[in-house]
Amino acid sequence: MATTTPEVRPATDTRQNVGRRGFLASAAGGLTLAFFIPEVSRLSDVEAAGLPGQVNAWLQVGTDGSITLTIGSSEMGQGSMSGLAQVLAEELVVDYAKVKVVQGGPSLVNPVPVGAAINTVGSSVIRTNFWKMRDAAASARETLVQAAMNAKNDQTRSDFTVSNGVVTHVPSGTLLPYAQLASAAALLQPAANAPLIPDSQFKLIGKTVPRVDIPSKVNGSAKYGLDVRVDGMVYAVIKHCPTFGGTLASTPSVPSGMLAVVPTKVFAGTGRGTEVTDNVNAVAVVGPNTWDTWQAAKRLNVAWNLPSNAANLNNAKFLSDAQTLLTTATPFVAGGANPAGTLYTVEGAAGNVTSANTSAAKIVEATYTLPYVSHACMEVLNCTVNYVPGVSCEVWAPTQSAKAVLSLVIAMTGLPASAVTVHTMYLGGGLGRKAEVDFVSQAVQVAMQVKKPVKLMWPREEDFTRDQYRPMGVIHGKAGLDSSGNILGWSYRNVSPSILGQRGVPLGAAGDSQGIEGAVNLPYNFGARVTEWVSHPSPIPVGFWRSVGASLNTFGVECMIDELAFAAGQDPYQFRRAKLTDPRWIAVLDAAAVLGNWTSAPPSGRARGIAIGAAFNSIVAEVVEISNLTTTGLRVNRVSCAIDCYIPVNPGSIQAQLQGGIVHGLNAALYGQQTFVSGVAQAKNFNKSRMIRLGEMPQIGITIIPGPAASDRSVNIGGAGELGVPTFAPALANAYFKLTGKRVRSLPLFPGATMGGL
Amino acid sequence: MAAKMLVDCGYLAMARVWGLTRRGYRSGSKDNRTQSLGIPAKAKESNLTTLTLNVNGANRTVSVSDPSMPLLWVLRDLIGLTGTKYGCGIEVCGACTVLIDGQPEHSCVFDTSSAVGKKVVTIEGLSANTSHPAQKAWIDHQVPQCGYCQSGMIMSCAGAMAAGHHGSEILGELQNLCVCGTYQRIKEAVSTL
Repeated sequence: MATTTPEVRPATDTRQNVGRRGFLASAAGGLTLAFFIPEVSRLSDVEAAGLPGQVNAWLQVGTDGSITLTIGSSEMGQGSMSGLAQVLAEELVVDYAKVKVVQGGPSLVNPVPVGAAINTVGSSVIRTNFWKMRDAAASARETLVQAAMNAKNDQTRSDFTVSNGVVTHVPSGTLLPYAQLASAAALLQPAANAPLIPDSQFKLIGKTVPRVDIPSKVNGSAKYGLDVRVDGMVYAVIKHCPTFGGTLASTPSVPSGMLAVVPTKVFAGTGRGTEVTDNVNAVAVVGPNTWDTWQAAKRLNVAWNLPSNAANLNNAKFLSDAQTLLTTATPFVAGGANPAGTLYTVEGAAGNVTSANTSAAKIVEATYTLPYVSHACMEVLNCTVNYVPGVSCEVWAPTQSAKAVLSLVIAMTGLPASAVTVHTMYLGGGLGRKAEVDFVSQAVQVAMQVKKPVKLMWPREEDFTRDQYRPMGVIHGKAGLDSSGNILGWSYRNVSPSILGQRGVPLGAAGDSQGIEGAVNLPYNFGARVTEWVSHPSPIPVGFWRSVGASLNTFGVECMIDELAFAAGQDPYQFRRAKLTDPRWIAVLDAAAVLGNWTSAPPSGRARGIAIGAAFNSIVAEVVEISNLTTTGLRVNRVSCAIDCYIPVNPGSIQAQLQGGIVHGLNAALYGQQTFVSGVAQAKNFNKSRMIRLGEMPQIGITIIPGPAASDRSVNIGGAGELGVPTFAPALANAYFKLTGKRVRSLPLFPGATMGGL
Repeated sequence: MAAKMLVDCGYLAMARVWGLTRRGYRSGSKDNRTQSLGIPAKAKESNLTTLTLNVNGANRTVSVSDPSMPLLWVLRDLIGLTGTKYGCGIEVCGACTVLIDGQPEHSCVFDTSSAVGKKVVTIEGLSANTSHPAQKAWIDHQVPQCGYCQSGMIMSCAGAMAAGHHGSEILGELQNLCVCGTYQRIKEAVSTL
């Protein structure tokens, strides 16, 4: 296992037009890479320089037997870089302790080749790459074996075994380490249909193995985006118009001691909502170091033109608009304009629900309100760019989307892909915010203006006030119960701004999939159902925030289910259990209930709530135990969480991610919100965006449902990175009801909370 | 290929911009750690103040236009020790924690001029070979996620340990913010210290 920061490698290839035959010919002399997994049909994304022992684009075998894997996922703390290395090492049959990991660069090739940058979003790295990586590694392993077979002039595969990166020719007892075979393997066609290691023989998959990045993160050597230093670099600090939608009125003169003031515009594709393409919404002050430049930016008096609708950009208006739309939204019309305020019926039919509820003994109805929430990654947005006019552009960014960065830089500079290098640095938190490239576009604009290497930083206050927030939402639920507590008709409507709509994605009849996730395909036995989503007109920029739509909808759904259980006079756990139709959901619910001692009375003064939900193909249930309610807070004592992600690749990482997700959900449910007054975001730093500290940490227990004895590749693998979040808030709210008899129908619970200095 | 990355002083770039003369400041390797920044003559005329700091056992001389520049930015931008992190700038998160004369301090608000004559220890100088007990415990318990807050967290822990505290005593002094929510593993790690 490597103990160093993954090194940064050149990202792009300069041989876009070299065909396989020609490349192999040249490779014969210098030996680089020569085989690819089957779906990769072009040679356009290989490493720029062939290295000795380079078996393919992502595998290099050192003469000392070391294995270097190029991994495409961004590492923002979720451990997926190590997880992919673990999967590759399993199928390669190499010692994970000897594996070194380097960060892969982006590629424009589709599908993304193994080793090239993966868009690291949606808790997707493991779940969408598990089989692809195994196939690729198995192919590489069998190609190395083929090289051994050729070397021994023995084409009987069963005469060879593989262990710890060494191929053994059994009849002769000859040991052939991968290091000896790499050169020959690189010239072979990749093995097709290579067999995978049987689940029963797994040595790494399903095991908790140490993460490769952790040693560098305890000694200061890990390099995050903000840590990049380039020879001759200058520093830029961004200063946006404080009001969303505002534009620069006139360019200020350059302050004393500074190098430049660069107006930055919204580059096409990076703007959301109020931030329209070509609007100059910020200036970057450029100077000799961060501090002096930041102070100059603070002092800089900038004249802005404020938008005519600024007075309407406030919370009270957003809330009243949403409440109006709960009853007045206009249904979607195929081929119509379908402006903001359109009602999309995502599943079911309202008429059926109305009919089903005519015989109801009780009708339960509730409206839930959720706020905009900031991402607040510990590392502020930043990007470093070295632009040489007409020649090259090199970018260092803490990005979840290196491929989007590559495309953006090509579009901005006009340079060919071969002249653009993108380095994905460690991310000091991503949380969805660093999947955006607005900050990259600003850094490139500054670099193109000043023509020297420049690091652009967003001060914390800019990071909070110019976020692309988790959307607000107003959710209405209405359901009928018969006298036995059966749910006759279920009606669910969520009004929230559209993440995809603000990205220019045309919304079809089912609306914004991101907005309604967590509310559809629920395996509850509803007699009839209708699930609706309404696009809210607020132009405040919104984006992907850890667990996205599920963070709103699981709250709405699971609070509503709890209200129904109470109305039916049933235990919330048993009520859910009786209504669930999917045995995997039931098993997860049971596991959380067992872990959380649901059937035993909680200690005096405490109360428990339960919730379940699914996102990114994983099912999660949580039991939350609380106490000590005051006007300013409460104590979360315990959280008991169960997950079924089908194949748990690294249980230790899954545990860590669920713990982290629970804290993320806890911070948001208790305190998290961003508010707006005339288009100006009000929470500007952590002091006005309270989060828990160590002393407030609940005891978290995690149960991971074991993987199958023999995995079936037709079953979706689930994610873990975002899964702790969605079920926390409803389980907390349901515990709050148990403790107080009062329902929580608006988040956060303690909206005015602040956080003092240390 | 990647531009060569090195430790540099922002004023160097500016000096080039302004046509000033550079006199060979480059920290980061042991042989030139004590080398003076060598303030360009013209820079001297523009009111730069020279300060000598003891950082991780070595003297470092820097020039600042603003003597109240927080130590955080001197460490990161002028000396090139980027292990100390910027999080909030207002002493709320603790990501910038360093030891000054053994005491955990928030470098984001600590005037550099006030650090003169004191011993500054950053995460890079905490131990050789990542051998401080807190660092080892952090690895053993696989604490970091994104890791961005952990330099400050570990320095706070090291400060508490240096004061003779153990286990739960240390926990009471770890007020640093971790957005990833690694607190449970921190508690497990600290319980061994």
